[in-house]
Amino acid sequence: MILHNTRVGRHAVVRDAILDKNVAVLAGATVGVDKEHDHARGFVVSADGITVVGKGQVVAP
Amino acid sequence: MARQRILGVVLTGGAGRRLRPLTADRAKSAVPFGGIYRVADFTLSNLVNGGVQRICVLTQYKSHSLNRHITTTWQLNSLLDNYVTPVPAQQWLGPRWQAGSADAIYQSLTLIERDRPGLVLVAGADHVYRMDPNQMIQAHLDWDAGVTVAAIPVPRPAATDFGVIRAAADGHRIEAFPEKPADPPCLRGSPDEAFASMGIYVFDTAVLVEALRKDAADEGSGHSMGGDIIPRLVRDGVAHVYDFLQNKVPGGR
Repeated sequence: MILHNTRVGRHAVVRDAILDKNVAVLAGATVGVDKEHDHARGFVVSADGITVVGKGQVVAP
Repeated sequence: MARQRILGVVLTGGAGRRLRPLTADRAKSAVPFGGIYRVADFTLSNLVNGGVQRICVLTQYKSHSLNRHITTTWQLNSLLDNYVTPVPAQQWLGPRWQAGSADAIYQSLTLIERDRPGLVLVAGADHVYRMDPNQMIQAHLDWDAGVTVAAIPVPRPAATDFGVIRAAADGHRIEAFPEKPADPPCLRGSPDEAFASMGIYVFDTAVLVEALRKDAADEGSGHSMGGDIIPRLVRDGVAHVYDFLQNKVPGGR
């Protein structure tokens, strides 16, 4: 689920994730695919395996 | 029926810790839902479409996002004296935040005193549901209740997170209201279910104001609607329960 004013760059992959407002997923980045990596990067992963990226965060490749 | 003047009071104080990080920058009731909506819109839509068109939304926690949404979207007709207005914690009673949901209303009693409603409908703003409040208000009047609490049957093991209602033999007077009980009383005639409070209340104004005043003077109180005000009124014998499943909405459930 992608909220307002969030940008997803070319060839980026978003799976099983909630992206809050003003998030930037940079070109080629992945989020929601590798839950352990998401967790290690500081994103919240719910018990059901949904990655949540907070407002205004940048997801780098 | 000559309709009583009714004021809606919507509580949005909760921080919504379980929804982090979506609630890192906004109150739970301001979390976006379905594109252009916010969670609070469910409660506001139920009230406004049910004819409760003077509503104070009490805010405290990171309320700017919700303020902006309400002031830009819920503009009712002021010629008819209708409004939905966000009310911040204003420290009428001293330099402190709201200590609980009851204290939030107590601190804003001036709003109720100025509006002079016969009834006050208090609801949370973090529920996703559809309801016609008129049917609950009518039940409240039919029972001549001091307060009427909306409740929904839930599986008994899930009821330990809610205020749970034990109804009397007549099906609606409340005998007991344990908050988050380890062993919830079951629903009459249904041993696997319990009656969970939805945090939606219709009050006679005088009953609400008196209970809030007494609660504010009680130093042992947690100043919560579900934990303190409703149990107090249950002890007084004036609390009744309205079964949400009796509520019929256009289009059906």
